[in-house]
Amino acid sequence: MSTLKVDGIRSNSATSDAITLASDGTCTANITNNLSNRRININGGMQVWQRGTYVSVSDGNNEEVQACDRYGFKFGNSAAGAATISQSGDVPTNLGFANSFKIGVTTINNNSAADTQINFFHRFEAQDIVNSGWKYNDSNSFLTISFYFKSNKSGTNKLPVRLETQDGTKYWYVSEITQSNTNWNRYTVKIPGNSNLTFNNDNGYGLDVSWFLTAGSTYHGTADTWGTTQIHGTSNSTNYFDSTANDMWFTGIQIEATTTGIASDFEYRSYAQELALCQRYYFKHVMTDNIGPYFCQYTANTRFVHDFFPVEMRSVPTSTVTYGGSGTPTPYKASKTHFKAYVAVGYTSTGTNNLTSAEYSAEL
Amino acid sequence: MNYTYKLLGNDLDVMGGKPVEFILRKEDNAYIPFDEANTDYQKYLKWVAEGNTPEAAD
Repeated sequence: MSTLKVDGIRSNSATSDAITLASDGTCTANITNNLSNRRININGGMQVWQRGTYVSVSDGNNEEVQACDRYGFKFGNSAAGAATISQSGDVPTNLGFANSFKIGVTTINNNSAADTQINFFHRFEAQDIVNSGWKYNDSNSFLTISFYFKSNKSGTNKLPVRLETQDGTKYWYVSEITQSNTNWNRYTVKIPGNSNLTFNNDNGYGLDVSWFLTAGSTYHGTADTWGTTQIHGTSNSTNYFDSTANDMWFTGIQIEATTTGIASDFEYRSYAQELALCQRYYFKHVMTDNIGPYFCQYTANTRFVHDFFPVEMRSVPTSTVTYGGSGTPTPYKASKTHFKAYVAVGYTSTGTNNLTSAEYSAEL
Repeated sequence: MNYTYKLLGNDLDVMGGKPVEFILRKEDNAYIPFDEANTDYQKYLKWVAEGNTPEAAD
């Protein structure tokens, strides 16, 4: 038996060791495959679409998260243009994805308004950044954002990935990827920490990661540096909304803390795992034949209903419910774990009340 | 969409008779709880701070 005694193992073409061996007999390895619990964004494979799989979106119409769970779309500053958002089966070949998030331009935005902004986004709770392993005050620690992207827009295009912090003084950061063909490609940007960043360890809105499909000149800035000036892109950023022929697809979005900035392989999860994670922010109670929980007689003249959520929601959610039966239900002291309501109806042997639809939103 | 809001009055006496701790968002009949972490409630508070007034309860 022999022992190989070295302090590190490194590729001939690398500038740092893949494996570093320590004097105490341990080692550290920069492994990028077969890792678990690294992806901090939810639904990166675009599996869960509780609300529906198609929606038309424009300024004031179906903005925010309205189709694919956890991924929203926004037309800021009354931006012109419109698009359809849909679940697509167009995915990278043989990489294990079933769905992508498709954006089809239906009305152009010529980017003539300096403050125009159209973005696709994912938002994080502040505590999920604090507990991600990203040393966000350390410039040698990175939030690495990798994603598969495709567009039929030809030529060389620049797509800005923009971060906006929410706690304390707001900070912005833009890093651009270059799309030089119309195929699916995996792109990566690495975001270093900065000593000025603040994230609270709570369930509030902590970080926005946006892909700006058009960014007006008011919000152009310098790439790859943190600053307190709001920016969405650079003067090189492409307007993906300049033609109704343009389509864009995203899938395999992975946001993770790294020490190198190098993305690890996409972390696949089951539908059940992703659905449960999504339901912290939105829960659609699917009811057979629109028959949901029944109101039970609480007092002689009052009926009461409880609808329990499958997972604890981020905050007490906004409730949108419909019901059958007489009277008008009034919501009562709902919580992160359930909705309840009462209706002033006396007992009858035949008349019933029940929820016929229910949706609960605790989005960021 | 520009939302408007309506107050919901008081609970029934059997529920304590206190003010209902929700706001009705009129355009989509959504009940918004008085939870400061709820972003819809944050938007309602901003709407009020901008000088708007919710419709009175029935």
